[in-house]
Amino acid sequence: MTKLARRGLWTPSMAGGLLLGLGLLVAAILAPVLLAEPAEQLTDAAGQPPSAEHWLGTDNLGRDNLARALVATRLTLLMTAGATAIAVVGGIVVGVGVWLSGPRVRKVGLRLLETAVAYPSLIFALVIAAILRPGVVSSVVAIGVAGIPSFARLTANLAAKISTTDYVTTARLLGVSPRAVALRHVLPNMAEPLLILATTVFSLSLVELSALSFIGLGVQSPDYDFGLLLNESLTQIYTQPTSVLGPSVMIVLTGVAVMLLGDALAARANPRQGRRAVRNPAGPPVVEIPDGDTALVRVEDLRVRVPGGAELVKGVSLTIEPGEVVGLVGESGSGKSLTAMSVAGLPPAELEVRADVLRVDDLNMLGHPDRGRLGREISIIYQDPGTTFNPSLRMGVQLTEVLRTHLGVGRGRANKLIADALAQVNISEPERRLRQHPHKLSGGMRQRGMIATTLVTTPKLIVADEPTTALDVTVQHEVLRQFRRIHREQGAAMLFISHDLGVVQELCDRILVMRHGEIVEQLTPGQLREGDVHHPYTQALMDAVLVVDTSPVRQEFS
Amino acid sequence: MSISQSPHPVPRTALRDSPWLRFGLQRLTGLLVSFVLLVTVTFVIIPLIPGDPAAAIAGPEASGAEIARIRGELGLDQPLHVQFFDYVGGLLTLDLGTSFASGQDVSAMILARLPFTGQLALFAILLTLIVSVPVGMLVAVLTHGGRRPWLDHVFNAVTSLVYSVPQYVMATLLVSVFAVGFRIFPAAGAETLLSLVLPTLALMLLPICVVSRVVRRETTVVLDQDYIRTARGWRIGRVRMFGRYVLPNVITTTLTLSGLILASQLGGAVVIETVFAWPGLGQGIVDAFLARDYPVIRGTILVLGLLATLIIIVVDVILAIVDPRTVEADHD
Amino acid sequence: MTNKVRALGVAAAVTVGLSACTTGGAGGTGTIQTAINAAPTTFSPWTAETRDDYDVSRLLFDTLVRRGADNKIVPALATSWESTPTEASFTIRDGATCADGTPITAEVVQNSLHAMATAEGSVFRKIVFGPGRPTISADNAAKTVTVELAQPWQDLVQGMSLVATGIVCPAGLENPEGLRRGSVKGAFSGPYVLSASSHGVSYTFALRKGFTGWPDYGDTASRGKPAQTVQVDVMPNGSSRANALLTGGMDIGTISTQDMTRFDGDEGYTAQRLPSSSLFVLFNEREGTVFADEEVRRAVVQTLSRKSFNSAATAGLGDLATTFSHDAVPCASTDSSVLIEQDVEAAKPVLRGKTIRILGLEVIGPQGAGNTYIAEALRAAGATVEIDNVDVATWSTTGTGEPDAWDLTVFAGINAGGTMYGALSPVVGPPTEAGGANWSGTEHKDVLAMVDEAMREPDDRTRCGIYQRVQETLIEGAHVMPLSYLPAQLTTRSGFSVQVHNDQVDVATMQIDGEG
Repeated sequence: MTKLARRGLWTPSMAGGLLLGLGLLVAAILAPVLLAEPAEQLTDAAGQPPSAEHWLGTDNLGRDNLARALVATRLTLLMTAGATAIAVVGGIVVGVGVWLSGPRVRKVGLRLLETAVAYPSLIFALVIAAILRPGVVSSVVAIGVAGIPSFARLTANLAAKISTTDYVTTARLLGVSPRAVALRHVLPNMAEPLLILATTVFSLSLVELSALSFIGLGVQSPDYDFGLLLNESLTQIYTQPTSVLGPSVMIVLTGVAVMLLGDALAARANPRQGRRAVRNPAGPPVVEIPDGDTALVRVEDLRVRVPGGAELVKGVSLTIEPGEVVGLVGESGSGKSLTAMSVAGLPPAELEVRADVLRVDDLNMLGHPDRGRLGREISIIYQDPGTTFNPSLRMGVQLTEVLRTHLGVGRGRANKLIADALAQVNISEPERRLRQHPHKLSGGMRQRGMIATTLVTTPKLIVADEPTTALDVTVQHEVLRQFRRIHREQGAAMLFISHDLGVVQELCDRILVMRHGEIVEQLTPGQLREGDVHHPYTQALMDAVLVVDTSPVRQEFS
Repeated sequence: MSISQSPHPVPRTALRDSPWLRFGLQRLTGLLVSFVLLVTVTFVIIPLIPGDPAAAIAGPEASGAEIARIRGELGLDQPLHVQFFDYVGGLLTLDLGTSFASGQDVSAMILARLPFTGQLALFAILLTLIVSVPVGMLVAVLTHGGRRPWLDHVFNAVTSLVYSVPQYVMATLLVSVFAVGFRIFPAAGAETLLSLVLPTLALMLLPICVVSRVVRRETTVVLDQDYIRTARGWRIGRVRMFGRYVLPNVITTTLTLSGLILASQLGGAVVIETVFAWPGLGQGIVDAFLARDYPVIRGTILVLGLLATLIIIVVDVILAIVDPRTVEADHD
Repeated sequence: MTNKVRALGVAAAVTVGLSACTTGGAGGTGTIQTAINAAPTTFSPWTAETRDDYDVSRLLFDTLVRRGADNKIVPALATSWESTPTEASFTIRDGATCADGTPITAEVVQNSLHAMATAEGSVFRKIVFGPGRPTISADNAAKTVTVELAQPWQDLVQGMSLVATGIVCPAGLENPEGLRRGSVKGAFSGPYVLSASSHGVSYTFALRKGFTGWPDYGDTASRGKPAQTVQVDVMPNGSSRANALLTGGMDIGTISTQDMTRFDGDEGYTAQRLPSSSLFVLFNEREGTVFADEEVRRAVVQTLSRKSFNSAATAGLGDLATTFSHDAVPCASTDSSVLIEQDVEAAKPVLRGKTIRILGLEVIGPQGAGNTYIAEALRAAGATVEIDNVDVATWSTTGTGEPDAWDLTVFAGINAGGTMYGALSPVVGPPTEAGGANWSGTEHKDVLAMVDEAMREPDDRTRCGIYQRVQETLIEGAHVMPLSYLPAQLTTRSGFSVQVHNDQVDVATMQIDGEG
């Protein structure tokens, strides 16, 4: 159990789902063996109310309602599973097929699927069941086939998403045939989301199978599933409600079991699951700065840890003087980003953050400082410009956010200011760019846009978390130029995070090397340039730089 | 979509510069294609249903000779292709034909039911959105990052429970309590505005569970997006954060799903229609099936198909306004 | 009935007294809310097919007579009549008009009846006039219409009480298509006109000013007035109807589900359970089938219990049947000693190893529970049973068109004509494959001869004696097994009333009580 709990598996959803599911399985296996007689033998005790002998009464043929509900579990589960299997397998085949075919066919196929999905599937099922003549098999086929389009569409969407991932692209570039790509790369990676979707299809099939019974096209006696039992008893819903109880409760239990299992699976598949937010003790919003402390940023003994787990930042201390550019280098996982985000006051919610001092100017980043001041005084520039802007909002809205929210600038003036700033960072047609959505701009443009905001908001501190990493080398160069320029023109202090020694050496006044959550070395650009490093880790980082040193841009820097 | 293929050449025409025009043309073509498919498929498939319309009309006490006469009267003795061209010819003049069972005009029959169906489905979907979007977002925010795990479990349990209760039983419970018990709302029929309350409620419950779950999931995904982190960095207020940054991105999936639900409720609300004696299209098509009234079945399926396609288009347009990437996505 | 039967001119003329008919002379009041099961398939009386069609036509078209208590014929549009087995002549009421003001003359009636007698697609033509084509003549001056039959047919006068012989005014005869759709206002001769309709959804009927042709059921004191408006909604679900009645959303309604019992002991409602159709086992007796053998049929009858079937099909609310036509049909047998007694042990050796294919009609009990009972009982007795519960359309198609596909069915005889001849049609006469309506495949010439005899017989008691022999022949020979009478409960909210005679509801007599 503890093992499961640690993996985030043993949640109440999982427990509840498994318990109910097991109960139903037991009923499905045992009830038809043990309860066949009270469930199927005709007796003279017809239409009886609940009694000690018949807990839910008897039906109009003198059969025990409870026994029938339990015995029906087997057929219901089998049928629902069958319909689900048809929908899932058919859906995968069609979905992957559509995705594998040429662009034209794919487009038409997707459009058709979309229309088919929008079509009331019950009517599909109605036609199919009617043609095949009602019964177990035709119900299963009808509901299964009716479920194919939506599953196919979901599969196609998933396939499209996965096909743009790196390994699939690589496989394609390597000339692997589409079919092999599908079988070896796409399908295995869809397994988990598809499994979760399958639980949804299962619960939906359950609902639709009973709806089919309701129209009279479901299972026919002598077979009986929950749907048939429910519909046989519907005419008695007002006169003998207990007869409806059995099948209703069984349907609910089955549905709940499957949905809870689905929830549990989805939770497991979500990598962020299992993390718990922590409530960090809040300090006062501002701190007093002792006399003689000239630093803009002071961090003393910063510790960031997973509650009850590993320490990710182990007692980091640093200062940044006003106007100083401090570089923080280290490989991923070294704790440099956590340190920077802690300084910016935006650490991940599930981590515990402690420090003796953590301030930016007099803002206590361990407390809840004034939002306006935070917005005005600290700017943050992120790593991947492709995802840092909201795709559904125009650039103008987003770039002027701080101006309008915290500096009280009106919309028109804010746009004007930001347009000027964009022009300054060499973005052509700035007014038009502001009206565009983020995806219309290149990565470099977006990053320069972000930098441009700091031109107008004039923050005291810029926290830049690997701002050039996701960019093409040529673009990197241009973006860095803009950073140098802000610094030159505004004199803002900067905490610049990178794993690229070349970049920081060019930009920074001071360089801190981090490894395993600790600062292992502090260097000046000069020391770095001359290779005057002491820690073997720094040495290793420098060696790594040499590998890419052959690129033309790199030469320009060195 | 794939990187290895070069983007297919786009002709240098005006179309290229107007993604909206292109978008519109594409949807229109889609509409036409699905229309043609629907017409053909329903025409071929419906007669495969066992049961002779003529026998259904004549009834069990009719003679064999009488049934044969009715078959002739309905034109069912004609070769299938002749029937098909008659049917398509009618469609071209916007004539859905006359009912086998009653001789009434099919389009009039559908039009009689459409307002009831539309009313119910629209109300239900609007209220579903009004309820599910805030609830789903709230739960997502409150439980984000592993906070309040109990709420997570309660939400999952309650929504799956309500989702699983058979619609008929749920609807009957509503009628028993609010109509027969307390006499607050009418139990059946569609006479007054009050009549709309219970069927709408009954029709909403299931979608509310589905949609609020989706909204919750989507909100959680959005909250983990980089652009939310960016917006946090700008230290904007909660209201603006959720209104401007989270909601529009959540609404994409939600609207698509709602469109599908709306489309499915137009013809698929049979159970609710039955319990509340609501004269909707679902009941109409089931009746038509029982009577093997081919023209009515075909007409209704066709109208439902067109409505479904229209709904998709409307949703697409809304989405394109909310998130313009979808328009250009067609270029790729 | 292809036998040639010559008319026998000798018979006692029956005269029924003049009608005073003052019922509902004053104008109407208020609205009555009621419901039908499904959209009417036609507004033309002579092709009326479903119970809903009958109800709607009753409001729209007047008939010459009505059938009152104890099968007594009472006046409606005709004030008096005379009849022999081969002829009947009716005197038309003075001052009766069509909805468009056209006076209803003898000629108008003649034309309407002629159209009905020659209409294609009326199952009632034979029930009313017999197999041959009648000659209908009118005397406008004397206001009499005379029907001369091609053969003796005692059911003629009763036939004139059926909705199917409702008088269609000239405007309707001129426009048969409009008549069918209910769009010709001038076609109506009854108390109401169809004033608004949303097909399949609801229908509004407005009372005609100055309508006088109300049926005169005799001493039933009428306290109320006809409604100014009758609002009819399509409401297929029994529970919904019951809910509507219980919450005041409906005033008069028929319920045939178990919801009937929800009104038990409720003083705010008058509830009358009426047999709506008779359920009986019908065998496919064609050559080479399992039930061509009387012994096997008898074994099936011995296996089944009417009581258990009734419990399954009607939740025990129906009455056990003693014949295949229901109680209200003149000359129906009520003698349960005619029935073959249940004896499962005797049946077992016969049924063992026999394969029986049941063609089940899914409306016999919830999800065809009645058929399920039969299947289970036969299975328990050792037979191999295949059962197919299907909807009405497939059932009719298979029963009338695929004699090779089934062995046994539970027939639901609606017998809207309410005559013994009507009840016999699925069991005797030419089989369906020969263009007839007989599902069983055995023509039963002996029975047909007896029916001919009955049709010639003017004396009620003697005639019923003949019909009793007919029923005994079929029941004792295990050709049919009477099971139960499917009940339908006419439920009326206090403050409203409707007349029921001879187990038949006359919706044209729906009224709102006095003070209102």
